[in-house]
Amino acid sequence: MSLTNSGSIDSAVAASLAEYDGNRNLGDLQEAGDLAARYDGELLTDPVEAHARGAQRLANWAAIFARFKRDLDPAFDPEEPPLIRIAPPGPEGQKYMPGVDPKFVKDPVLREKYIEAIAKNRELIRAYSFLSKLNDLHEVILEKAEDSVADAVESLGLEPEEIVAILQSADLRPSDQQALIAAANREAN
Amino acid sequence: MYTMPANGGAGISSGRRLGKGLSGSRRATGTMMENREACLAWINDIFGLDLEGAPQEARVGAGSAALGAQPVSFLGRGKKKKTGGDDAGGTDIDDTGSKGGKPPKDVTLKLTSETEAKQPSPRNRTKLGVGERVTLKLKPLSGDWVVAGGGSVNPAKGSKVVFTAPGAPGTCTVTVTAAGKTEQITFTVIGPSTVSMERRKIRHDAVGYPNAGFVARIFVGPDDVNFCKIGITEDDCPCVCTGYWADFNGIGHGANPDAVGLEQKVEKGMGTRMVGQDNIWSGYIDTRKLDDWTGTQTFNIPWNYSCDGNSARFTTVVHQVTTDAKGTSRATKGGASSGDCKLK
Repeated sequence: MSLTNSGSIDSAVAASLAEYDGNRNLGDLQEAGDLAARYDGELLTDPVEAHARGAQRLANWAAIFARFKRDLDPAFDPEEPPLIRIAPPGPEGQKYMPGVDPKFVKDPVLREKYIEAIAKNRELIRAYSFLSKLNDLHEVILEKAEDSVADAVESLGLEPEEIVAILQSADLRPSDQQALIAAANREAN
Repeated sequence: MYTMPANGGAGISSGRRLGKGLSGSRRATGTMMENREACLAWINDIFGLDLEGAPQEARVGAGSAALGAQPVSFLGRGKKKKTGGDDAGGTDIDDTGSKGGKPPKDVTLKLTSETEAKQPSPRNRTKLGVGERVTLKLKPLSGDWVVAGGGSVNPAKGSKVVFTAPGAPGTCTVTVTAAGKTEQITFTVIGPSTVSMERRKIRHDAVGYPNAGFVARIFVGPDDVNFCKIGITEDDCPCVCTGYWADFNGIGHGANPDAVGLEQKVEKGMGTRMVGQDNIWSGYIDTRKLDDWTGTQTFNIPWNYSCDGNSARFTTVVHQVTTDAKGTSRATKGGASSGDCKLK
């Protein structure tokens, strides 16, 4: 899957996305969204320049939403999060309170299993937290992108049909594609 | 099973700076229209307004700004005029077709704010949780933005910027200057103060000894701001036990050193929902049968929040199990309860 759009992405957006690709730090993805929206509302006198800027804006959003397509888990369920504390495993472990310090678990075998289980649960929570935050960020950035795409029509003069063509050729989640296409047609509606 | 990202799923810093990687020659934002006269002609064409002839009386006082020789970003998001047949896609600004004349002298600045988090409403609220992000828009000009009292605004120039509240409570004033006029907005930033729980599932095991518990969603309040940018940790604390539970006395509720984040969801009367569920469970002691099971186990758990380098203890959450003489037990935490769990 190509996550870049052949040279038309803003270099600052591309840099933030490259960092995100390397470390999955959501701050970098958030920053890419901020950067992609920073010229919203600007007007350019030169139609050719305006068109180029609009096309770059679309490329920026396409690149950002390609990351969401790659990283969002369709099976993620915010209503079924992991437990933040667990009890030692097995029937014997249920005699203890969840989150009990392992040093209070008398049986050394059970204690070791508990320490392992805590480490696994910690990883589960981290992974779940990442997806939870990614989902929330997706909601925020989608709203930004919808405004930005609508503005590309309004301020930069891109034709909705052209935007639709760009978005349809981009590797996006269908729901994102539809939302952005709807934004492109906002003025017409 | 979710796949763990390479860096352990680091959250989003609330204090990131926009503009990294911008080349020095690139304008941070703002209108690129260079020809004022062309813009006036454009306004006349599109809106039918002859701004050059606007009467002095029509110029508003407070919140208005002399346009002077500023860039013509007052055009803002003007409606696009269809040209038909030309696929260049640019706005219909005739930068060679100036009608000449004088520029408008005044323009009214309008500053609006909208929280990034959709909850709680209204999104133009000026009371924020620590680290919350707010989109600020200035119309119809682009301006220079500064913030006093903490937090940051990025980029520092533009018509649309993001204000990030500081990691510590306080009062922050964002000022935008355009065409010699200023507009301000003041935010009150608060930290968390409450923890509430909502029971999802009761737990009661038929083991012949008293026990009680429940699984709960956790909310951090108050509910009139969003705390999605904070992380929560619990400190270690020993259990204080009496009666039947005395064997657990001094057993530690281990510290939870990894900060657990919060979602953007805010529930009325509760607060911002935490990622993850709490697992409240009494355990049980199966070493002896008693005629009188009366006893209590109590944890007074210190809760801390962290945000953008700031951290503070904000409350103590009481986790308690009470058992009566017949062995009926009830677990409570954060305002939620297991209900009565009879000995079975």
